[in-house]
Amino acid sequence: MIALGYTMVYGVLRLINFAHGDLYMVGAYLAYYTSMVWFTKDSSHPFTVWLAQHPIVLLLVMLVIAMVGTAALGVTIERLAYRPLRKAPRLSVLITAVGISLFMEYAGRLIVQTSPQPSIVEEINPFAKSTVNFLGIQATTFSLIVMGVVAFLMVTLWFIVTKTPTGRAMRAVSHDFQTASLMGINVDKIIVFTFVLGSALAGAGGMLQATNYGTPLNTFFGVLPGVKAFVAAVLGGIGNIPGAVAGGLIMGVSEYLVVWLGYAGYKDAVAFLLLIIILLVKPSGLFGSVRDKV
Amino acid sequence: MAATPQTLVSSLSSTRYSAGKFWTTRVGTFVLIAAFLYALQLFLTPNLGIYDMRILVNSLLYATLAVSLNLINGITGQFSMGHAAFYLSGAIISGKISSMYYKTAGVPGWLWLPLMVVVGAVGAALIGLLVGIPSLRLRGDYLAVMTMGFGEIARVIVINQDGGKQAFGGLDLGGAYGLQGVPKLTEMYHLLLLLIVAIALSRNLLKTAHGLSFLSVREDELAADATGVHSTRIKVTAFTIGAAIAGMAGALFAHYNRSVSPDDFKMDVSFMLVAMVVIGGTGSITGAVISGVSLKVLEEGLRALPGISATALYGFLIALIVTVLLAKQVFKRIEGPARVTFDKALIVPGLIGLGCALFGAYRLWGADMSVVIKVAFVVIALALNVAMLLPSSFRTALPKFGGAMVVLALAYGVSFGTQALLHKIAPLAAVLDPIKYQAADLRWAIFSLALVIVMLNRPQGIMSHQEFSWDFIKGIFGKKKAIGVAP
Repeated sequence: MIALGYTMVYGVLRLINFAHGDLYMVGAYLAYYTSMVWFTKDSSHPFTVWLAQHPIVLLLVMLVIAMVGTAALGVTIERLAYRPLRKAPRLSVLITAVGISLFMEYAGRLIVQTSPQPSIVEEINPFAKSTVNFLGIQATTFSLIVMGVVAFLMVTLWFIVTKTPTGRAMRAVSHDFQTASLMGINVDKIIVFTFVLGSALAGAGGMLQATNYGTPLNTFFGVLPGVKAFVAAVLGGIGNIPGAVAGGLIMGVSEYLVVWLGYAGYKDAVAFLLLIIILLVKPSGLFGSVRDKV
Repeated sequence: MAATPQTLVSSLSSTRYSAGKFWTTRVGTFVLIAAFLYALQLFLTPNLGIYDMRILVNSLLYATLAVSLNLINGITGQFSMGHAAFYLSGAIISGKISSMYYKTAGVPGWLWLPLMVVVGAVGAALIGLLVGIPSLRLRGDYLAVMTMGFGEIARVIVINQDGGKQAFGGLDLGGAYGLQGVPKLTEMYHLLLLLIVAIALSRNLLKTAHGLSFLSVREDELAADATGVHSTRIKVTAFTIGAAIAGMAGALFAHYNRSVSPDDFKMDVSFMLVAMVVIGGTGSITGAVISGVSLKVLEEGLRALPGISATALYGFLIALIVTVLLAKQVFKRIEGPARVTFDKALIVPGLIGLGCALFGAYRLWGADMSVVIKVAFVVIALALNVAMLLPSSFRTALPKFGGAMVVLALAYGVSFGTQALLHKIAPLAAVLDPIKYQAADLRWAIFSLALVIVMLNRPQGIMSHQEFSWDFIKGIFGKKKAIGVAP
């Protein structure tokens, strides 16, 4: 999920957006605050009662707010930090991204609640508890919902990128943005649009993760997922949408496999080891084209 | 005097290469420098507190690491984000051997430490070789991810070596608690010495034909290959040398800190080092040293920040915005519209630098230090800032500096003014007054903001590709056309 957003931004801008993991964190926090505003345990307001009976409505609202909020934030970051550096060396942009990421993690702590670490109350999401039998596999209803949402967003994304004029413009910018701008494409506009999509995806990912396990939140919530998403994106061939999904799946499965084998301590290393092996065999990632080899 | 063939030949023969002389000069210089640094150490120890000493040691350490990473990232252009791995391996290998054998070996400390430094260097160099060889296939971001992966793998492996079930062969490196019981042998001047060695190494490399081939790999690998540079070998060499220096730094760190905890070598360290190299200007050794020292001092120095009330913070932020806007106007007036585009880039970092310098001066003034050091610090800080704000001709420099001072004074005024105002507005004060911000959070927020602002204003880094030299200084003062000897 986050890998998708990463690959979008990277594909167009050739920029490793370190702040992506932090957008994920912001998405989770937005979901949390939305749930706090609308749903308090001991309120007997008729609206709250109604919400408790129709949890899907609240979840949808949380999802939308998280996506819109992160999209807005993503665009702001792009405007303030990345656009002035459009013509600067790529390394400088990278350092700026690291700076932005650090800033969001620590300045965020001044604004949001971190101790005690808040988590979204379980009543919000009854689906995480109930289980269903699906083709003989026991799964929580919520994981099915997550899969559905992810699949939906993925198909939408794929549609936008391959079938619409904007998507064609995005691909053109990603190939060569100078030529694209000569062809009458407003490069800045396209990049902003990419940031909207990528950030919204990150926000949705954060919201889903936060509601799923009642995970305690803090501002470093997005760091590890961010790094892993980046690895997954590279694994699948950077800038390549099906590749990012496949990369994410491979990473997840291999990590569970290692834990299952009894080497839980090496969990984080295995993802990277896998990455190194794949890059050695196929230097541009699983589905990457040779053109991507910068 | 006309150069006759005779004088030419004689002058050539007198400077002819001779191995004996070469080594005596080198060893002699080294011993002299070491002696000088030892004297410096003796002078500084009673004058600096333990805390300030630690900051100094840390900044020297990071400057060394930045110089070594500069060799890989800046000079050879191979984007490595796993430098912490080399640092870690140097520290852990030498630390392990030291903690096991130092007590029984009966070797005096002054001999044992260089031995361990060599061990750390060799260990890290081997690992650098291990990373360097596969890295040949990859370029750009893929290489970056791969080295980042190596860095993480190294750390995870070390964390798991706790002598338990998951360790390889029951190896005990202390696991997540860190390796303990390393003897304390490192003093500040060892680090300074290593820094000088690292600088000398990179500089000499750049001055010779070998260095040219490193640079050619950075500029265009294909073209380098076509002109007969063995780019593969160059890249591996760069990785190995860079890793070896990082390993030495690691060994010194282990013997200074007395314990090696994997937490000190997280991915952040690698990022920070990359930031230092980029901010200093990729490929510039001077830049790496300057940014290495200043970023570390900034990071550690901000630790001294007190917790701050919300009113003060917002007052400060408003003042900051006002100051920046004001500064732009003031400098526009001084320079006239024609030059604004060039010098605008220097205003904000210059002001921040000035602020930091004054803050540092203020902090050090209270510390237990001799007057000489205090005065020297202030002079250096001011000189740096004057250089920062200087245009290419000296004529407009003074009004500019004066302008900076006026702006700064105004900023202080605005800051206090807004604070007072925020206190006056009752509903705002009611909300803001009870909020206190923790110093630790503020420290990193300020640090990262400084990072972003410097990058936004000077994307090519402080020194860009230039090196420190007298010509460079003269160039700043406008006596000579500025030639940053672009390597």
